[in-house]
Amino acid sequence: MVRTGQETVLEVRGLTRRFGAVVALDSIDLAVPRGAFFALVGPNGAGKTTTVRILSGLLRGQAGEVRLLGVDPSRDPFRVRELVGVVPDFLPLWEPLTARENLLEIAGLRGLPRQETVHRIADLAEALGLADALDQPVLQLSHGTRKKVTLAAAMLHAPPLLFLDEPFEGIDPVAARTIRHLLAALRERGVTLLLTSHVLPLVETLATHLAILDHGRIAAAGPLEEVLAGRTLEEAFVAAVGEPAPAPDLSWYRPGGGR
Amino acid sequence: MTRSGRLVLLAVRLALARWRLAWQRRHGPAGMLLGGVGTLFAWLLLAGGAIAFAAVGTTLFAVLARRGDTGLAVAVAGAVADAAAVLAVLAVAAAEETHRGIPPRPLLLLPVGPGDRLLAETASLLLAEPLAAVAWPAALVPVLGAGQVASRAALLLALPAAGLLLFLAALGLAVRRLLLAGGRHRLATAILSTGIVFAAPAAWLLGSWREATNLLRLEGGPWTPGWWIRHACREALAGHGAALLPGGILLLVAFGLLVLAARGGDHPAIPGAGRPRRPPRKFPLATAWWAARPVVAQWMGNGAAALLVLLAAHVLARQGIPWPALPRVAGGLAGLILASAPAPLFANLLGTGSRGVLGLLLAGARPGRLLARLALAAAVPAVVLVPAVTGIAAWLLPATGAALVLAAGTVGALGLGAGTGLLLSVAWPVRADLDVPGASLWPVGPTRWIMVAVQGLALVPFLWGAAIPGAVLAVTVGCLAVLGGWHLAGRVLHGRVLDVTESLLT
Repeated sequence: MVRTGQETVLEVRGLTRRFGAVVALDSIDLAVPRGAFFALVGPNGAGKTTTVRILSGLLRGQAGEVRLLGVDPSRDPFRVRELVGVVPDFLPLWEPLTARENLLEIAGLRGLPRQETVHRIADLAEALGLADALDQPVLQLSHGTRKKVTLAAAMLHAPPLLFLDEPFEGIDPVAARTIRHLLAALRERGVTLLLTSHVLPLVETLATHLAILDHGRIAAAGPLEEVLAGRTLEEAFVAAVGEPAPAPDLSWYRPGGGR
Repeated sequence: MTRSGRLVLLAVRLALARWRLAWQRRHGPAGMLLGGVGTLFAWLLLAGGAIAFAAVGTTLFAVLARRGDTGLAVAVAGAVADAAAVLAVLAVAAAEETHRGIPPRPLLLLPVGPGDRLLAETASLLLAEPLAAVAWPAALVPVLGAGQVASRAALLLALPAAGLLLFLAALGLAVRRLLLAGGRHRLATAILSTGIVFAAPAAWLLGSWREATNLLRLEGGPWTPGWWIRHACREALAGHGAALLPGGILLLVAFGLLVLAARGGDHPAIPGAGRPRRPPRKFPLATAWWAARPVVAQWMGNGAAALLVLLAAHVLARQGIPWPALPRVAGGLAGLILASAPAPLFANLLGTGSRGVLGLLLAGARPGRLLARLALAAAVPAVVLVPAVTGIAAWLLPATGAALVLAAGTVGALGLGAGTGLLLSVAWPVRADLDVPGASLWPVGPTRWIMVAVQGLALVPFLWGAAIPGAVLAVTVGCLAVLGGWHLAGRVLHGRVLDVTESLLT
């Protein structure tokens, strides 16, 4: 098993991003050690997707610094794409093409040799349970299967870092289990993973490091055990972002009394 | 129909559905009934224009028939058939955009029932085919007029009258079905609609130009549906058995349209029915054909239009028009039409199907490689179409230089379009979804005019003739433009890939 070392592969300092008047990220700091399984959790609109997009070189940060294996994504986004595999929140697949054609196209653009690509696609299909879906147009595939195809696309070039934005969203329990096992195996091989998710029990099982993001700010961060401090992740999460508002009185809501 | 037009229609539908639901909430079952009746009334009000047109048309034909002016009545019948052929296509095309341009997702959240669907469908028919409603009374004219003529002529008139009636009915049905159908039928529609829309007015103008009095007699040129009707009716009124031939041909055409309509799918996208899923398509060739669907449809439509231009020039040339430059002008125009087929995609290579392109950008594709791949995919049909149209030009307009102008002009315009489009697409990417059938592929802004103006430059070398040097110059300029544009666009994209992804994501 690869042990998490002290070498930092991803470092973020003072990262800020606004969309008009909305502050999506407000000077956040992150440090992801090599081989870590880093989970980024937070309520809806906390800034998780924006963070992943900036780290992937899809969006530009407006202030602060990002270093990804020494590379600044805003200065050299093409180099970053070689180092990182990304499963974004949207599914960037060509719907009319089959899953296999999508994977072949992406591998071709990455410059992978054809034979090697065919071999890797077969392996990934087996690992992700995609064998039956490979030759179907993406249009016909379920949301969960499309996620798995996108994950396969992100892994094709064997990058040292994987960014996964909500990989378990819309996934059935069996597929979630397949992905979970695959991610655990990748970590065993020394791949550094950064994941955003709302599925807290899964995060608790997989993550080695954790950051809780709230309203664009880091509410808590560090190794999982330190952040949890003996609590469950749900308890730590609620403590960091605050208790939900008390349920309002919905006395008007009675079956058949909606008119 | 413009985007704002589609939005207005969608807003009207939403408002009506909400109004009906509000009645239902306030007044229970009685409100539901009243709301349903009110919605029907509102739709009928919207369709009132069409009904009024039909009434006016019928009155006009009845008056003509009573006056016994069979000559004018027959001419009007022919003219109406031609107008119906052109405008029915346009009207139904607009209806298709209304249906498919915006997925009626908001309506999916409302409890829209089968009754609403039926009403929406009926309203669509009434709104979309007013021309068919206007046109069918024209079929009565020869029958009514037959009372004024000899019994043999009356008998002979039955065939063209039946042909006209069937033709108009079949036209409305066939075009509507074709336009609402998916997949390969939509490709056929692109060709048919382009053909009909361009052919009928062109034939009309040609016929009128040949003999100025044709315009006064409301007569168009040869080979339009109206021409067949007039020809058949006149032969019949003269008591000639020759009326059977054009009448029979008209019947055959109508029968063909009916068969086409029967084979075409009929899956209109109506509120509540959800957005029809495009049938999956497996690409038989390289995966670089990612953009095949819109590109091929665009190429085929423009190819049909280019052929019509050549055909018109051929007819004019045979009439001995004293304009030596006519074949060259026609060749250049046809070339420009052909080369403009991939122009909208060239101008927005990165924005078209933005999610897929984002995937390719995420895959770390090198800018030059990515742009070349996308541009080649958009231009691939040219390999087949340009030689084919050039060959037809050489056959229709032999020894006039038209084929040379067409071939070289197309290559030059394609090169200029690709070079300029590559630069525009990296400088100004606009998110455009390929999955919205019928939506315009053009990005917003002045790109359309820039592309038309730049592609038109390819014809400048031919202003002074169709000589070889002009062709060489046009092709050379095109090649230089595409190489320069590609090189420069690659460098620009490398420097501003983040700006591109930002504009596609935010």
